[in-house]
Amino acid sequence: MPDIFTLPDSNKTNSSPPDSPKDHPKTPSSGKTGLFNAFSFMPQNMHFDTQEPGETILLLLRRHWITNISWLFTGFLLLIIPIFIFPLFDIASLFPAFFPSSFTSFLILTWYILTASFLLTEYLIWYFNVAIVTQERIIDIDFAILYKSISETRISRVEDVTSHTGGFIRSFFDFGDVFVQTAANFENFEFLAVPHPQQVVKIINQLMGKVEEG
Amino acid sequence: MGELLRNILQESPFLLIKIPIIILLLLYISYTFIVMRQTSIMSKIVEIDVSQTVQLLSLIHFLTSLFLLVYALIFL
Repeated sequence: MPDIFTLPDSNKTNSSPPDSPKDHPKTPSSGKTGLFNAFSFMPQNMHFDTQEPGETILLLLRRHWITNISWLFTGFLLLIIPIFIFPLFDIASLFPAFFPSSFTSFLILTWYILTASFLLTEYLIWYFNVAIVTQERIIDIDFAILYKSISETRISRVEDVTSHTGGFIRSFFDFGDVFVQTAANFENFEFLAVPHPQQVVKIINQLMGKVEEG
Repeated sequence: MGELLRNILQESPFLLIKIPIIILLLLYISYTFIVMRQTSIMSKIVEIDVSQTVQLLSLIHFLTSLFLLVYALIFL
């Protein structure tokens, strides 16, 4: 595997980027940052809040798309339920006479809007739960609608990186957990259900090696 | 006061249903507003070229909840 980064040289300007993604043809999703991308190597057109000048993002990780199947399936059921249920009953006849005739259409509209709301919320939680690996740091962003936590550590503080992949589904789709252990006083990082965990470990190990050499 | 309320409810008993619906919809609007705000904040923390699409989706989500309230106020 070719070098994935070079330590910033104080004699050079920061304008020289590390190897282009084209140098890594075996790396999946090189440079892509789509709406449904879970593994992006050297993502282009991406920045984060605390990014330092010249700091290159090497990995953008999210949970594997297969982990979204449960809420996608639930959303699909919620979408099709009215199509099968409503023709079976005369919904309007279920309500007392003083209910307005538009109440049924209001119910159907509310049902679909709440379903869309459920799907969007689940998607946003998946989309904003990211792990970012740069030349110098590891950043873990945990997000729920009313909660967010952003942790980061320097690569130099990382002591050990391990990946766990177990079970048929995880082996078949090649995803698993990556655990980044840092020095005693610093927080440990968990990237859960990320695609290609061995590759993530390999990249972080290579970064650690470069930092030690530097 | 009690008499007035009783008269209103006799005239329009659906108000007993409509008022809780409106209150729930106002709560829902506040939720969609929070989602929109959080999406905007998170899009600044992690800027990706598709961030604007995500922000647009959350804006549509918020506007839809407003539409639902207006629908309930006019048609119910």
